[in-house]
Amino acid sequence: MSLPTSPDQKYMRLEKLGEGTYATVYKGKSRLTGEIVALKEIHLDSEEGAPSTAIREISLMKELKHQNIVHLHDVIHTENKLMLVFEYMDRDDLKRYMEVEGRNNHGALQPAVIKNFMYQLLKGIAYCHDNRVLHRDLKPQNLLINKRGELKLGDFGLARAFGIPVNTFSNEVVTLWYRAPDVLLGSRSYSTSIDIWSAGCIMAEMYTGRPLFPGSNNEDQLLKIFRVMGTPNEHTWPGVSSFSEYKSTFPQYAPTNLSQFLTMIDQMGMDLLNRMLQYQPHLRISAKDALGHVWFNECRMWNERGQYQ
Amino acid sequence: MPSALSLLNPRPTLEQLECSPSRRDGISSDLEEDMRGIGCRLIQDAGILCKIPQATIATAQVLFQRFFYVASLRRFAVLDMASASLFLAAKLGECATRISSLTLAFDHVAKRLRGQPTDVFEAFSQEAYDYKTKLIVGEMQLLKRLGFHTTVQLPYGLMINYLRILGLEEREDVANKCWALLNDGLATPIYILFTPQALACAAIDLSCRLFAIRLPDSPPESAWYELFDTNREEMDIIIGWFARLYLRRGNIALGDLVARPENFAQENGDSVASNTLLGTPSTHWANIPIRLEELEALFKRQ
Repeated sequence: MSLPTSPDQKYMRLEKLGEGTYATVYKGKSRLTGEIVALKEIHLDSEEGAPSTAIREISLMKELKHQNIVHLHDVIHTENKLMLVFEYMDRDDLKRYMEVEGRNNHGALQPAVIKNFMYQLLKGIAYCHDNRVLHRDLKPQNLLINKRGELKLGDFGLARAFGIPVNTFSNEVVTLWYRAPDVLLGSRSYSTSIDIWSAGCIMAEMYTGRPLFPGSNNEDQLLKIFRVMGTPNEHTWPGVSSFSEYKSTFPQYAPTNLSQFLTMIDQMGMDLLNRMLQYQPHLRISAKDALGHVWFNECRMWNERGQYQ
Repeated sequence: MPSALSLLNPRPTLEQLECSPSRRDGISSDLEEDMRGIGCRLIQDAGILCKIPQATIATAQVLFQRFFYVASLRRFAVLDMASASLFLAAKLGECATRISSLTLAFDHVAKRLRGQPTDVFEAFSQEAYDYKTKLIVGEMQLLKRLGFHTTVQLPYGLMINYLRILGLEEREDVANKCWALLNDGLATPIYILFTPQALACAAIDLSCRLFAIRLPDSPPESAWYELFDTNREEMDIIIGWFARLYLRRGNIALGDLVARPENFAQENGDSVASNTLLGTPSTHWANIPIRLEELEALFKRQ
């Protein structure tokens, strides 16, 4: 933690990179070392104090140190704002990366790139889960890429540490399109499996260039999922009818084969995707087990070789 | 995979323990203990009034206690930091509470605790405005001085799990007693000094002794608490803090009981089964300063 000092003394603010709900992000340069950083400026509200998203993000990110998680270098506090100094990722976020790299292919990426990104994404998730942190808001916009082809998890504004028992969390988490069906149905006792669902949705999106389930509201989101995966019932998902948002009047869809939407995907990749997109949270593969899936054989070899260099 | 990440509770240094910032500012250890005590009591009472879950109220008390290992009671008023702690804990616990509700609740419980008339201030008065400003400033002080280390691991969930493992899940009286002890213990430094495991074990040990329940400790080398990473010495020190707390609060009988539970177990078991062990407000609350001016006035008198 730095003492209250003007951010301008330590960092020079360059161009604006983006604007979020509670913060503005600028590219910045350290006056001391010349290092390029990302400056996330959070305006402090005189009515509500520090935004809880900022508090969560700082308290977790200052502890999370991993090659697939964006590093928080420093926090600077001034009279009316908090400034978070992050490692700068010199390419786009995954959403823009897909728009640029996949422009000749409707936004779809090359299978080798997808596998590589999925491996890095799952490594970041596994590290979070291993340290009992849920991200809760994984989406292409929150995955940052640099010119070395590294992918890192960013924006921990909705993340939280979990202990035992894990319940009565807020169910207002995760952008709708990547939100797990158990959360959409009103579950408040979710755990690590919600991040895995999001990762599955992101994997499918990289193959097609389009979001897998682009719902417009909670119910529409559920119906988009049901149309592809079949409407769940007590037989396919024991206990589903006791969720607060479950309706017996849901239209009944038969399950379809996900691979018909994803023609580019190979058989092993499809197997992994199916394991991530399971209705029942406890059946969803863990990040750690996903990293051990045969689909990642060459990534693991590459990863190990990298370590010996 | 490296797992050295610390979402564990931070511990104070020996120096911080032996000579807290308040002690260095001329506040005696007795007065500091009382000021911490009343701060926790304010948080507990205001939290209940605002219908905040106990886990969040407990988190607030731990943050409040931690803060005064890095800051002095002479610079930061008990009342301001108590309200700021609950305000911050409520955000962390995802049950954010409105500033106006919190300030009203703290004002009310402070007046009640010190036997003053509990008249309510106007919502748009200068007083209300000052309260709000102090709360927001206090929150940022907490975050800054604690280095945003706001995670608090609590023993409640562990305690319930341990009781289950010990086959005591049916004994609601034991669970209630443990719960009450863990709540009372927030006013002491035990949450700062010991692991959640040790706190859960000490609460179970003491409760079971009060109810004359024997716990499995057959061969001495494998006592039940060792399964939960706790040793006898830690538990005894924690129980010592409970005895001290009750004695200081003027509850001599309970203090003695906690200090030597075996002597009383059978006859008095029921009388201590109430949910709150610290029932009646003791008269000495009125003299403990909760505002900076009150503290300075006390210094002048001495």
